[in-house]
Amino acid sequence: MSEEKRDVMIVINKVQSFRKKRKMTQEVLANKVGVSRKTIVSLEKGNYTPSLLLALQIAKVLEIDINAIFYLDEE
Amino acid sequence: MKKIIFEQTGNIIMILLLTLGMIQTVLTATVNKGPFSFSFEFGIFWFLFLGWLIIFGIARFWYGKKKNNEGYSTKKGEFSTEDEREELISKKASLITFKMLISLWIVLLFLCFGLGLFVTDTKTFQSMVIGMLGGSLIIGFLTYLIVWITLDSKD
Repeated sequence: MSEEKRDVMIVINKVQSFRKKRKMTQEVLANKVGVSRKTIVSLEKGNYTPSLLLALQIAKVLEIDINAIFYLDEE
Repeated sequence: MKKIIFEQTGNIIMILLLTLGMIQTVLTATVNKGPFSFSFEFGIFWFLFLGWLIIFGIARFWYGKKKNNEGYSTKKGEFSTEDEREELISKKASLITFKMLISLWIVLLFLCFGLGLFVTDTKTFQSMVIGMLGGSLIIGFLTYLIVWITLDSKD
């Protein structure tokens, strides 16, 4: 994949909405996946793209299929 | 963020005292060629440096043992990270600091060359070189700190 194409592809995440559905605070989610609360804040704002490992851990904690939380926005 | 401020502040003070101590020793040193003898003195800055090493060492040990220390490790120092996002910030900050230091050292190399041609007093030249090297290290520590804080705040 070209660098140019990688630059325009953005990973969209629905962590905030699924977390709120589970009535979970950012602090609780952060503790469960072993990261800082600031990382969850950045992730929810879309400023940070998590590693595959972290994405899988979040999906597991929120009990949702990873494809429902994280997906590519190619536009 | 606090751990990086703590570590870099300590490092900056340490290098500052070490540089001043070295400059003081160079300026007070005397060397006789025949018969060969030399003398130099350990000034106040060397004692301050040793004192700071002890204080900073204890503070680092205490910070490492402290709960909620944002993942600070005495072994990793300024490269301590709490999670993968901070790891990324640390790598980016290191890369920017490296690039900045290389550019700065190239400039300093030319500056030393220029000063070597015009500064005739050996002690003044030696002090200048030590000062420039120490100063560049302090600039390096400051760059890492500023870049780290900027990247962390941007997220």
